[in-house]
Formats: sequence, C-alpha cells, structure tokens
Amino acid sequence: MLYGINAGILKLNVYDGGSKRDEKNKQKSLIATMMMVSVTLAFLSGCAANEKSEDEDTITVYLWGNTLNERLTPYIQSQLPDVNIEFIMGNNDLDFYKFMNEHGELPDIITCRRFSLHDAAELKDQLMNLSTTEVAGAIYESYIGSFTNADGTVNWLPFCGTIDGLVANRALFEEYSIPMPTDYDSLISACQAFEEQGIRGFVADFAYDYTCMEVLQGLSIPEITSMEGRMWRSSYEDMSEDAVGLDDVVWPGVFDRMEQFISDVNIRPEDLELDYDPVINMFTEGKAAMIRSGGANVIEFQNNNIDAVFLPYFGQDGEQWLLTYPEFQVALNKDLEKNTKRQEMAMKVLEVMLSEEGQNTFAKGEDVITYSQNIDLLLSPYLDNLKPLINQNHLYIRIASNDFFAVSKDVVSKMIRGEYDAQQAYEAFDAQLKQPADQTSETVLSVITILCQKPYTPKVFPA
Amino acid sequence: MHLWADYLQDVTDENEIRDFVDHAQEETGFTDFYFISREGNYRTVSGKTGYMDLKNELPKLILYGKDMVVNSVVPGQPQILVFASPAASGIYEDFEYEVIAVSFNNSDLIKTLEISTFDNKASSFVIRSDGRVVVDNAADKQQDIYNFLAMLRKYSQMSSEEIDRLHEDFSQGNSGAAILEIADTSYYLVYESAVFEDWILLGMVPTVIVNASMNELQYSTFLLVAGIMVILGIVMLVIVIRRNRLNLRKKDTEILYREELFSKLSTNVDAVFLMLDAKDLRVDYVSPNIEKLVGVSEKQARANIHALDHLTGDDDTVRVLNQLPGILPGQQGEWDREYIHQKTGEVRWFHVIAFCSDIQGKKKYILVMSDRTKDKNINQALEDAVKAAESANRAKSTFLSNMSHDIRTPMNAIIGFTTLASANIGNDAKIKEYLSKILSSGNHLLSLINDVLDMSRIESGKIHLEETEANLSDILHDLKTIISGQVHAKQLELYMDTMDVTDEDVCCDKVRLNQVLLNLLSNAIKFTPPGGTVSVRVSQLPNAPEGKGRYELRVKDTGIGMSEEFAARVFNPFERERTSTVSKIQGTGLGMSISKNIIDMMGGTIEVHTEQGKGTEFIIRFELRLHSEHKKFEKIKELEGLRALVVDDDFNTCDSVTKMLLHVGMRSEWTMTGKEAVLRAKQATEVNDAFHAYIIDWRLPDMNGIEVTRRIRSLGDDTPIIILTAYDWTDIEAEAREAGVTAFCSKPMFMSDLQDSLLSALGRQKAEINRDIPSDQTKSFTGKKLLLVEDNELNREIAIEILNEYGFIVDTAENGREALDKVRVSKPGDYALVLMDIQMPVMDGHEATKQIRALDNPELAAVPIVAMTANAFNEDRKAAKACGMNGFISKPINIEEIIQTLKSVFDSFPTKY
Repeated sequence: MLYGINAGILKLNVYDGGSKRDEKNKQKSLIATMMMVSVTLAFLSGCAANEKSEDEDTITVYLWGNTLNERLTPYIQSQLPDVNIEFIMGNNDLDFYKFMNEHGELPDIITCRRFSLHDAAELKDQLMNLSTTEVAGAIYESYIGSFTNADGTVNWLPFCGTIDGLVANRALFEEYSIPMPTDYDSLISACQAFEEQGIRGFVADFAYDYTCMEVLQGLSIPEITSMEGRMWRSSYEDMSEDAVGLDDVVWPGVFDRMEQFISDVNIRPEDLELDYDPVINMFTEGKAAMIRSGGANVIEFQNNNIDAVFLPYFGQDGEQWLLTYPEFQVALNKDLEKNTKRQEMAMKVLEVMLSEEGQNTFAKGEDVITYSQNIDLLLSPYLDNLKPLINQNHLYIRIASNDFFAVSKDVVSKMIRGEYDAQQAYEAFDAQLKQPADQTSETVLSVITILCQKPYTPKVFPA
Repeated sequence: MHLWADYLQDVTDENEIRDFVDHAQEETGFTDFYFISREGNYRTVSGKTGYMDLKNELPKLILYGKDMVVNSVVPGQPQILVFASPAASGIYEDFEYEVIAVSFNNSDLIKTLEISTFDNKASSFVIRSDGRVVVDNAADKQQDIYNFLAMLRKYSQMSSEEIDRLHEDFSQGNSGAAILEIADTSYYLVYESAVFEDWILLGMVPTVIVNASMNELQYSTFLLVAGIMVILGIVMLVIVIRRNRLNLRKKDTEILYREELFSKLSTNVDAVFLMLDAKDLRVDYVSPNIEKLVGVSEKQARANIHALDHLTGDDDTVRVLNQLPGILPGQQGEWDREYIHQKTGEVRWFHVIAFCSDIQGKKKYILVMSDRTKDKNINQALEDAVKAAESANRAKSTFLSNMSHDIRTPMNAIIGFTTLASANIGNDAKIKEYLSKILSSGNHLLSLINDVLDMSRIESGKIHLEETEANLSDILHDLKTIISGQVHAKQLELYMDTMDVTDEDVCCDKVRLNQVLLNLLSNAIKFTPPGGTVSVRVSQLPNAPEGKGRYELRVKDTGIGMSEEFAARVFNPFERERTSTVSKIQGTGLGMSISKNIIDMMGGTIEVHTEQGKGTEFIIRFELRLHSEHKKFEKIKELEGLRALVVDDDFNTCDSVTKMLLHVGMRSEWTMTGKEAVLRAKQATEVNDAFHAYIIDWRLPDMNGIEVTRRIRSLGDDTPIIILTAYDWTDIEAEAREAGVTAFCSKPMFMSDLQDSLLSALGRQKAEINRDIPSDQTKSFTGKKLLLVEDNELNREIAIEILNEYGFIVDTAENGREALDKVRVSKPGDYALVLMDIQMPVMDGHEATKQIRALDNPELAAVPIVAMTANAFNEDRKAAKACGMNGFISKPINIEEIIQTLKSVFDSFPTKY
C-alpha cells in the first residue's frame, strides 16, 4: 500500500538546536502529521474514487527542493515528452524516504541533499543498483566510491557539486586597504582589521546546522583529509557499523581549531540567531567583510554589483580548500525492476537528469563542479580564482550524514555560546554520534494506517 | 617505481631527481610524477602542488605499505589512473613525502599499452566488475562509454538475463566470450579478469572483421599452413626423392660395385656363372669368362644355351641342362663333369652346381661351373708325386738295401784280401794279387761313394757346372784311353768317330762331360757281352745359335739292351734292370740318373733307344758355347788342290774325313775297301794325278791298313799315308812304319787330328800329343822334403809310404797348428811342399794355409801347399785355391794324381823347392 503525502514544502531541512534525537523525533512527528493530513484529506475527498490513480506509465520523481523543481523538471520533461513524470517535492534527507520505504511507498526516483552511505543503509535493499549504469559509470571513480556500498552496489548517484566557502567583499577590503586573505593568519588579521573598523570580519548563518557543520569541517579539511582522517571517515561511513564516534587523532584538533576560529574571528553567541537573510544583508551592506556562502552567491553578488570574491577555507598549515557537496543525490526504486517498461522510463529520467545538459541546466553553468567525466567544468569567471584549487584537487566533500548535521549544530552552537571548550565539544560530539537511534516512526505510521482505508494518490505538481 | 624508489632514496640533489623523473617519463610515458604526503597532498618535480584524492587507499598505501592503482580526478579533467607506491619517502623541495606516484590519462594509457587490434577496428576496454569503464579504447568512438554493461543494456540485443550473467562473470572474475549484436552489428566479445583490482579486460570486435580477419587469418593461416604443408611436402618430397636417389645411387653404386666385383671375379675365377630362366632356359646372365673356360662364346651361350651340350660330346645322359628341371626352388644339384674345351679340344674337369631360386615369383636356375682341371692336375701330380715318392722311397729302400750290399761287397773284399795278405806275408805274388784286388775293390767302393755323393749333391742342388775351355778331340781321346783297357779286357770292339765336327774347341764342364760319357761307356761295356761292339760318334749338328755349337753324342752298344719298361725308368735314380744280386752286374743305379741330371744342367737332352737282347743306344744332344779363340782350321797350302783318298769301311767316317780334307783344301775321295784303294792309287798315279794323302783305316774288311799301305808303296807312291785307328797302335807301329805308314791318327778323328797328322806327314813337326796312358813317373823328387799334415794316422802312414817311394823326405804334422808352427820355425827351402789335409782338429787346413800365407817371412809364406782331402769337388778345389793352396789332391790318394800334381806344382816353383 502506498501512502502518499501532499508535500508542498520548499524547505524541510529546518533545524534548530537540540539533540539529534530530538531533531529526529521532530522530523518524524512532522512527517506523521503530514501524512495524517494527507490521508484525512484523501479520505474526505472521496476515498470511494477507487480507480487506480497510479498510471503505470508514470514515473514519480521526488525532488528534495524547489530549486530542482524550477531548474530541472522542465528540462527533464522536455526531454521526455512521452514519459509521464510526476515531480513531487520530497525532503532533503533520507529519513523521509526511509519512512516511505518502511511503508512501501518509496517513490520511483528519489533525490536528497543530505546524504551519507551510512544513513542510506536502511534504504539499500529497496533501491536499484545503479553501479552498472552508464550514468554511474560516468561518475569519476574517486567520487563514485563515496556512493559505493561495501558489496559494490551503487544506489545513489551524485548530481554536480556546489562549492561552499568564504565569500569576501573585495571592495570592502580595498576600501579599507586590507589585504585579501590568503591564509588563515591573513584571514584572522583581516577580520581583526575589519573589527577595528566596526565591520564584522566574518559572519555566518550559524542558525543553520549546515553552517555549523561546514565551518567546523572547513577549518580542518587538511586534517580530515589526512590519512588518519580518511581512515576515520572510512570507518564512520561504513554501513556495517552502527555508531562510530570521533577518533582521537584528528577530531580533537578539529574542535581546537573551531574554538580558535570562534575566538579569532569573534563569533558571538548572537550569531547563532543569524540565518540566511541577515547574513546576506550584512554582507551586501558592507557590514560584514566575509561570510560563509556558496559560489552561486558570488555570481549573484557580482550580478548585483557587489565585488564578491570566493575564498577557500584556509587550513592552519597554509593549505586552501574548497568545501563541496553534490547538489543532490538521486536513487531509483528497486521495484522499477519489476516492470521493464517503467524501469526503462525511470532510467531515462535519471539519464536526462544526470546528463550534461541536465546538470548544466540546473547549474546554469556557473558555480558547479562536476563529478562526472562527461560533464565539463563550468565555473563562472567570477570564480576563476578557484581554478587553481580545483586543479589542485583541493576539493573536500563534506561529511553530510544527518547526525553530523544535527550534532554539529548542537556542539558548535554550544561552542559559540561558550558552553563547550574544544575538548568538551569533542567529547559531546563523539558521544552524540555514538548514541543509538530511537523508534518513533512506527507510532506515526500506525496512526496513519488506522486513518486511511485506501491508498492515497498524492497531488502532483504540474511540470 | 620500486626501482625509482631506490634511486630516490639515495639521491638528494633535486636537479638530479628532476632529470631522473624526466628520463623515466620519457621511458614510461606517464603523465605526471608525484611526491605524495601523508595528508594526501602531492608535489610534482615541476613544483605543481595539489591534493591527490586517493580516497581510502591512502591509509593502505602509508600504513600497510601496499602499492595501489587508483582512479583519481581533478574535476573537469579526464580521469587519471594513479599508480602509487610507498616505496620511497623523503623530502623534495622541502616537501615531505611518503608516497610516490605516477599518473596516466586514459588516452596515454592506451598509447602506453599500445592497445590496438584488428587494425584499430576492435574495441578494448578495461572495466570494473560492475561494468565501469576504466580504460576506454573503443574503436570508432562516437561517444564515451562509461559503463559497459549499461552500454550493452542500451544498445545490444542481449537480454537482461544475459547481461546479468555477464555481470556475474565480471564479478566472479571469470573469463568468457560471447557474441552480441549492437546496432545491427554483430560483435565478438571476449573478456578476462585482469587479476588486478577487479578489472576486467574486454575486447569487442565486429564479427565481420574477426570473421574477415579470421577468414583472412584462416585464409592466411590456411595459406600459410598450406604453404608450409606444401613446402614441407616439397621438402619431404625432395628429401624422399633425394634419399631415394641417394639410395638408388647407393644401390646403383652397390650394384655397380657388385657387378664390377662379380665381373672381375667371374672373369678371373675359373668358374662360369649362368642364370637361366627356368621356363625356357633363356640366359639371363652368363659370365664373360665362359669362352675362356669352355670355348663357348658368351654370344653363343646367350643365343642358345644348348651350345653347352657339346661340352660333353654326344653323351646325352651327362648333360647338366637336362637335369635342371628336377631341381625345385631352394634345392641344388651338383655334378662332376669332363668337358671338352670347344676351342682347344682340351679335356677339362668341371664341378657344376645348379641352384633353383624363386626371384620375385620367377623361377631361375643359377649354374656355377667351376673348372677344377688345375686341381685335378695338381691332385694327379700329387698322386704321381706320391707314387714317385713312394717309388723313390721304395727305390731308396731298395738302394739302401742294395747299397748296403754293394758297399759291403767291396768292403768285404778289402777286408778279406787284406786279411789274406796279412796271412801270406812273404808271398809276394799273392800279396801283389791281393793288393791288386784290394785296390780294385777300393776303387769300386770309391766309385760307389762318389756316385752316392754326386747324386746327393745333385739332388740338393749343390753341383754346379764349371765351364772351362775344352777340346772335344782331347775329351774323346782321353775317354778312349780310359776305357780302352776295359774294352780290351772284355774283348769288345770300340768304334769312335766324328761327323761334321768343325768346331772342336768348346767351353764346357769337361769333368762332368767325361763323367757322363764314362758312365755311358761304362754301362755299354758293362752290359755288352764279350765280342760285342761299343761305338761312340760325335757329330756337330747344324743351326746352332751364334757362338755355340750343337753336338750329338751317340753311345751305342750291342749289349743286352733294356726292356721298354725299364727304359722308361732308366734315368730314375737307383733303378737297375735287375738287382746286382741277380744280374751280378754291379752298380749303384745312380749313374744314369747322375748323367741325366748333368745333361739337364748342360741344357741338353738324353734319350735312350734300346731293344732287349739287341743293344742300347744313348743319344745326347747339347749345345756348347764355342771357345772364343777356337781354332779356325786353315787350308794346308801344300796340299791345296791335291788329291786325297780316304779308305774306311764305315761310310760315315769316309764322309766325315772327306769333308775334313775339303776343309784343308784337298780334293778328297773315299773308298770303303783296301783293294779299291790300291786300285785307285794306281789309277791316280797313271793319270798323273796321284793322291797326295791317304787316310786309311786300319781295320778294313778285305785287308788291313798296313797291307794297303804296303801295296800303295809298292806302286812307288810315297804319298803320306795316315793310318786311322780306334785302337792302340803301339803294337803294330813298328810294322806299320816298316810298311810305309807315315803317321797314325787315333779315332775319333777330329779336324785338328787330321790337320796335325797331315802336317806331321808333311814334315811340319808338331809335337805328338802323347795320349798314352801315363807311364811311371821318373823318380825326380829325391831329397825333397815334404811336410805332410794329416790327422789320421793310417792315412798319414800310407802317404808317407807312397811319398817315400818317390824319394820324398816326409815330415809330419797332425794338425794345422802344428804345421804352422813347423813352417814358421823352418828355414826357407826346408820344405819343398806342404801336403795339407783339410779337415783336421785344432786348426783345419784352410786356416793353417791362410796363416802360413800370412807369415812375416815371405819365403816361408810362399811355400807350396797342396790340399789333400777326401772332399774332391770343385767347390773344395775352389776353397783350397781361395785360401792360397797351390794344388789339390783328392783322397783316397791316387799315386798318379799325386805325382802329376806335385810335378805341376814343382814346375811352378822351379828353383827353390
């Protein structure tokens, strides 16, 4: 029985502070609510309409965010006029799909933004093995490894990647004759120089978990990508491991650096309240010299006559790194294999989605890095300064498990608030990672089951 | 890379490192060389830095020290294949590294690997087990292939199950092959695990190309194989042909060798080889020596084998060809046959063997006809020799038996008469008689022994003829002298004459010739009863070779003759008609054998004509070398043209003397009676053409020669008259001279005799040849001292007695040493002569002579030495002469010989001795 939801949500990944477990519980509650509403509506709208609403020729595609809907779905549909595709707004993480999967409602094609193999383990058996597909084959060997299960299967494929780092207002730097940072020390110096001018040297939307997570990781990319860091990451992302904490080689230093950074750039507890808009405003108003942002913003700033320049994360050993992550990951329901025709249609959708044109259409060719061999690198000239780093392969793919998002938010927030020092932060982080998950989803499902007599056909957004 | 690592570990100079890496890059074609840090950062030799995203392989590299091959990527750039090794660590341009790596782009890798097949029409891939393409070397690449299985799923006609099976194979690392169709093109797909990572090596090529290639390959292979097979075949054929040829050649050569060998053998052996076809007896082979052996030519035999039938004459039963059909294959038949040689008519003995063989299904007869004539002759000769040997053995046994008797007989006489003489000391008459008989017996014994020794020497080849100058007239006259006594004693008539002997001076072994003539005459005398006649005629035959004369000697008697049977064996040794025991005619039976051997040695012939009861004639013919200074008889001027008359009742004598007279230039006539002689003399006187010489035989049938002489003289004819006689004329000489005989000439009359007689008659004195039996020698040796060297006491005693008889003073020595000592200490002239025995102990005669001749005193050394020995042969004489002896006397001592020899020696040493 397939349970559908009417998800007209643009952003689902709204987190506030709290424990990971609380966050999960909240999420599940939300889902449950949504489902209940949907079921009720369906029931109320005439559950007697018992025609089979599911068209066998229709492929359902769950999009994690509206950006996909705006940029990608028209292209996909235009490329596949004969395929009936339902684009449905999904969620940006895997929990939603896990829930759906648990209820046998996993869509044909699912996309998510927040991803780790570890998180995806639960869905593994329900997802198609794409390892033998062309699109999978097109993905660089070194990247596909991050999506390859221990048994060699590949369920998720990355879309092109986005770059995150620091965005600096060059004009402001020039105005105040402050040299553009080239390393951590010059970054700090610049921050301090701006501070003296009453300008925030660096500010970030620490209200978001991803900002906390990315800054935490970005400051220690050299260490995390070191051999020891790789070893830890490998074990952390091993699906067979239930809960892996932090190591004691790399991660203590990570929190040390975070603590240092907080201090160096004068990150205040009130920064924890800053979300996207305030930070952007501060930047555009010249109240902040540097923010954490993505490459796309640089283009946007430039298009708005703000001489923004993208800066990498500066390692304390002088290295410069770009933090990247796929725009989204995409997977296919294994049930598609039961119907060759549907499978073919779904593959077509996937291929179109992951095609060069598709990715370029999405990226508008300006701020993405490609994970596929068949996709040329498209970088805006505004991001030319990143080319050396790209050429040097100083591209760090963030650790993007749900836990990491949640725990990073919690720990970094507390560090910013001064509640944790580095060591405490490390220990808290480690402890939270090791905490087992709870079982609240079943309660929600059972409620929905009671409420719904028949399957619900979700409303489809028009392409 | 490990090798590089070793270098990098040792080298610190960065320029050197850079150069080394550049060189390595040239060699191996990698894109970049990286020094990689523990953190995964890299630095190239050119200073390029970056991060080598080796994902989870970095710990394996550094912590486990494992070499890695990893795909890495710089976004927007082609995927690279990184070969990393932790083999080296160090610092390069202040960059601390723990790993070195090289990278290859896919295209470079393809170039490096030089992957190219089927003229670039084949696609090759390196994929992972899930189909992900690691290396894409697709032919006619229209688009990149990133996953092979996806490509198959999309473009091939393979079902999902098939693709899944393929995937399974890849996952299992299996190898395999398949045929698939992509876009209406059929491809061969082959895959094999690369045994590296989970890589699979794939190859895909259109079947058409493969088939074409295969066809081409097949075709090429076929051509190649066919070509090879053809070549092999040709080679084999060549080898076989060559081998066959070689074999054939070898066989031909062998056949040639065999043929040549057989040909030579068959030609040179005394055997005829025939191969006949059993069906029709057609000749397949006949050896070329058939004509030589049986007188039937090869051509004749081939034309008709039955030509051989004539070999056995008319006797059909013995023809071998008739026997052949009875011989089966594998069998053989043998026969001995007497064949008549068809050319020479000679009877030859053959041993014939016939084989029947089956040669390749054809029945053939092979005949071998061996000429055994020689063998038979040899066998016969051997039989004869055996018989002869047996006969000789028997004869020898008989001889020995007889010899024993013959020797004993005179020995008995010697011993007996000696005993009697010793018993009759004082009775001179008896003693004289006994001594005479002893002497006679001794001589006879000596004769026996000489004969035996002669025979022995002849048989052992030790007798050699010694040619010396001789005069036939002398020889005959001497002979006559020797036998005249026997002739008289036996009251026989002896006739000796010559015929046409113009060359009297010859070179011959006078002794041996005398021996032969004496033997013949002795036998003639021996075997002719009293009143019989013995005649000797010497003739010179014509057509002698240059420098030689051919002579014929006939010794004829009117004796008892010989039986035919004996006549055939008369020249065999030890043969006598009857044993002496029966016939009482003594003899060794060796004389004729010795005579024949001597004649044979002279190169002559001797034959016998005999008739039992009527007599025997021996005819000897030989050639003698004429003496180089032989006398040419010149004409007597005084008698030239004058008439002469020969009177002899023997025509041959008349004829012979008449011819001689012609040689001296006279006109000679002859008559056979005395009366006619007188009448013709008278007539001659009357016609004024008197005879100027008369040669008249003494014994004429009507009147003797003396009477004829008397009557001629009565006619007033004082012409020289020569009496020709075979007898001793001393008794009638006085009467004859009184009757008017001018000279005497003994028969046989030789030219020299006639010439001498005529000259003598004409008054040209020629010393008369004293042909008398030597009379007692004047005892002129008185006072001469001899040294007698003789070891035998008896011989010494006898010699002393004889020598004393002749007035010699005899000193003796018992051996050569003693003789030498005596001569050495003597004074020259003490010894007039040394009589030296030869065989002596201590020092023999030869050695003593040599040493005497070597004495320091030349006069002593020159003392005459005469050998005195029982070894009386020529070789002994030569030996004696060689060691310096001056004369030779044979034992037993013959007084006359001693005297003659001594006289001769003394004459040679006149004064001193």
